[in-house]
Amino acid sequence: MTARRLASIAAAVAAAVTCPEARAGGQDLEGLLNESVVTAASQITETGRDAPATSTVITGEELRRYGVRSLAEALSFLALGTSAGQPTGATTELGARGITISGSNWEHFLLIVDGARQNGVFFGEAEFGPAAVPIEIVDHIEVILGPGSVLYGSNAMLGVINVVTKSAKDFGGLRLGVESAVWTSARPWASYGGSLDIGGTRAEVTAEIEYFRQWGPSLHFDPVYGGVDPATKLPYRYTTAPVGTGVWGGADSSSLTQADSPSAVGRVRLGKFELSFQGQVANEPIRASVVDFDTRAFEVNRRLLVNLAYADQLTPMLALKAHAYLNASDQSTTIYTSWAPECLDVRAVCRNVITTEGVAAGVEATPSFDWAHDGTIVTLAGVDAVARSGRSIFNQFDATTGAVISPSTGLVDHRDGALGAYVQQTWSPSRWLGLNAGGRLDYDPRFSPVVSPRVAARVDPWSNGTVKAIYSEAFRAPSFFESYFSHALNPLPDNLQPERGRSGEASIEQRFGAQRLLFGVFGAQWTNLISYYNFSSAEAEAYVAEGKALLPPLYQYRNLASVSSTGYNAAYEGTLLSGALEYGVAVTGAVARLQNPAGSATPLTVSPRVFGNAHASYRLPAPLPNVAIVAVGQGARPAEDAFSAGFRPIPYVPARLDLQLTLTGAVPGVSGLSYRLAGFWTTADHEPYLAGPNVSPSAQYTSPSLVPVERTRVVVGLEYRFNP
Amino acid sequence: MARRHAIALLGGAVLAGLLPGSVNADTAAVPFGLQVDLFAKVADYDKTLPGRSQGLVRVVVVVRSGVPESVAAGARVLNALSSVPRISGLPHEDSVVELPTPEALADLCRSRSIGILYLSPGLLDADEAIAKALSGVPVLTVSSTADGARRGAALGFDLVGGKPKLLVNLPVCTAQGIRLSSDVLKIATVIP
Repeated sequence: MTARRLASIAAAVAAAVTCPEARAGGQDLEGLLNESVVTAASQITETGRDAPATSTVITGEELRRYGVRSLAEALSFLALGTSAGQPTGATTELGARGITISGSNWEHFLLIVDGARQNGVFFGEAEFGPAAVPIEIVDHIEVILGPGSVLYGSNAMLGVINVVTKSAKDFGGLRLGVESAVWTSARPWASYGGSLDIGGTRAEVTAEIEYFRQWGPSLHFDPVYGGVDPATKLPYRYTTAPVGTGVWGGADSSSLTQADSPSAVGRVRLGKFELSFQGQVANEPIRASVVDFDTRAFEVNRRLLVNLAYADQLTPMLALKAHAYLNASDQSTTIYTSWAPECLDVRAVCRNVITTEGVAAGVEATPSFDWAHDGTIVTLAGVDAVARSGRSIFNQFDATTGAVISPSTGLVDHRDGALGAYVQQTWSPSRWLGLNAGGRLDYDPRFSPVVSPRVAARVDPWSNGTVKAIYSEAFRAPSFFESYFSHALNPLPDNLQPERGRSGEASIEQRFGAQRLLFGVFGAQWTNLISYYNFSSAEAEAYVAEGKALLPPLYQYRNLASVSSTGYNAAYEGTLLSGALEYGVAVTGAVARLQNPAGSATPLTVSPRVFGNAHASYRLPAPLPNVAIVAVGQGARPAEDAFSAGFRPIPYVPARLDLQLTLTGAVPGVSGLSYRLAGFWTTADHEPYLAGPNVSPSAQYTSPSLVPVERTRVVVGLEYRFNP
Repeated sequence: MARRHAIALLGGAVLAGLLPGSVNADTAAVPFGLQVDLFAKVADYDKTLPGRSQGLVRVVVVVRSGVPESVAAGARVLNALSSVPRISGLPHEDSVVELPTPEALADLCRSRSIGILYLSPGLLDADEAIAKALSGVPVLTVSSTADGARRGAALGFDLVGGKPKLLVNLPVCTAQGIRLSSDVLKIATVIP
């Protein structure tokens, strides 16, 4: 290559960097107003196409228009790349990009509400179900796909879900509302938003309180034959009856659809300070393989989160964000079981109660330095220090007499501290080019320090086109439960390490007018997945012989498996008719495989290979309603434990399609009164989750019992706004 | 007891220092690059802009010295403007000025045929006075905030549901001789 040619290429590159680019030139005004704005991807307020991640923004208006009642529904109905399942009739699990970890408590997503980290200390869980965050107060939800530990530390394996509540200007006055899924649930709420001037400083308050109660429906559970209890030589009871039949299920039950939850969320702003708070008492059903049929297995979660934040532009170059936070929760889990050895008295029905408590209190400071004073070169640094404590106790009682059956076990009383430090450098030499690189170092006394890097590049090579490439890593620290909880059958883990995840992705996005088309490919690799290891009889006996335990153990948390996932994301969305018609389609295809320690690989259970959603709404002229329809599709999914339980053929649930039609509008003739009417229908009969005892196939029962699905639902809601 | 009083006074002083006055209570929610894209696009629909620009659209970004948020915003807006090749089909010339008196600002707009006047965050207390002074002056005033539009700028921006909203103050547009196409008014929040 000649020097002249090199010089001409260099000149062309230089010209491209320095010449103004007509970024919005081909995009019309409606298209610009459809741009989403996110903050969670890089802790910088930026458009979705500038962010170093694939993101979806779900607006509060969309939540109302499409009949959304919970965060889980929002992500399932309207987000790109996420899929949901219902292990019980009142709880959900969420996966992303083909990875759903069955039995997890959402701990592979990091949930943030108004800047406050929601994931608890003891279980690492986050709450996405009904009443986790009262939905009316939600301004928007940012769904940031992919590893996000670079700025947030543990748990951001599948992504970061950032919920932002409304400000007083958009949520003014007093509102009262009630919504009911006919015959199965009711949800009254009250909210308030207002602002005032205090000595020249603007103050505002927004809050919503809600009470959610679900009492049905009653669902039919296919029978499962559990066999003979080796302790009594009699068929397993699975009921409170003194003589069992060995059969679990075979009748209707509402034990998995009982829930209630009062909750409150709000924030107070005064100048540059913001105090946000959230409280919840959630009584929810749980799944447990050892639970007697039609007895109520439930957990009561109490949660309190407080976050005091401060943000200011101190100089034209230096901005500072800081917050102090408290995340306190406790949980009481109760199950009824006659299943030995979970119930040590073979004649009794046991009431097993696990009580846990976790508290995290910390401070985080994030200064950012705008070196060129114009946003082109910005360094963001942060330090996050947290003190944690966790306690637990496990008791077993005779369910009939209340007598204590065994001494307390599962005793945990642990305190420690963790520290995270991170730095992120962004560089945008031109509006058509953006680079982002950073890393976070997390210290946790339970394992060696973890580094989570991210490198991302964005190029707008042509008008209204954006190409991104991102590499990122993430981790999930073991929860306190996984690290410290033990009892006779569940010995403490040895040297449990954090789960690690790494991901690479590339995407191309094109906007034309008010339309947006996105296509991306991704590949993810997770290692060190924490799950229960089931001891064989020989291993359990050896464990006792080595003096490690007094009783033969059944299971133990270990870093066992690896998961890989490769696939694509595609989305098309837009508006027409000056925004009156709004629509979107999102599709994800992924091949996810689980590699177990023995080296064999199987498809990841409960995870669909193809899934997505489509939505459309049309704003009819008043007083006619908004009409909105959403469809959610999931391909066939292997049932939980499908490849390990021994059933043949391998149990799958077939592909499903869910449809929901929602009408919203103002009640004619009554100022301030509005309504929401939704009808839901699904083709599915069952979720891919096991119901009842996790048994192996027998001559009598050749397929597992799966959690049944509520196939239809009608929801009616009214809201009255005072002084509209 | 004296020590407690001293601590309380010190705490109060620190808090008072941290609490901002109303002059800098307004914070722009929409990223400045997107604001620039938006007002440059709206300017395409301003039927009077080509006639009053004399072949060159002059954009003035007004900042308030001593308010870091305002100064930083001004620099970012100016940087974003450098990526916009033409406004309303015309070349543009961009500059930053520190807030003079509203009357001096009006004189500046008249004497230099300013096409677009961008009011950065931190000017909220001056918005109404600026609007009053600019009445009859043919300039498209753009506020970085929604409150700015409510207080007297022709355009303003808000962020609702993670999406930008465009506010158009119709009386101000009329007073300043701005005629926006109905295409803009159909998708904007119009302040009557």
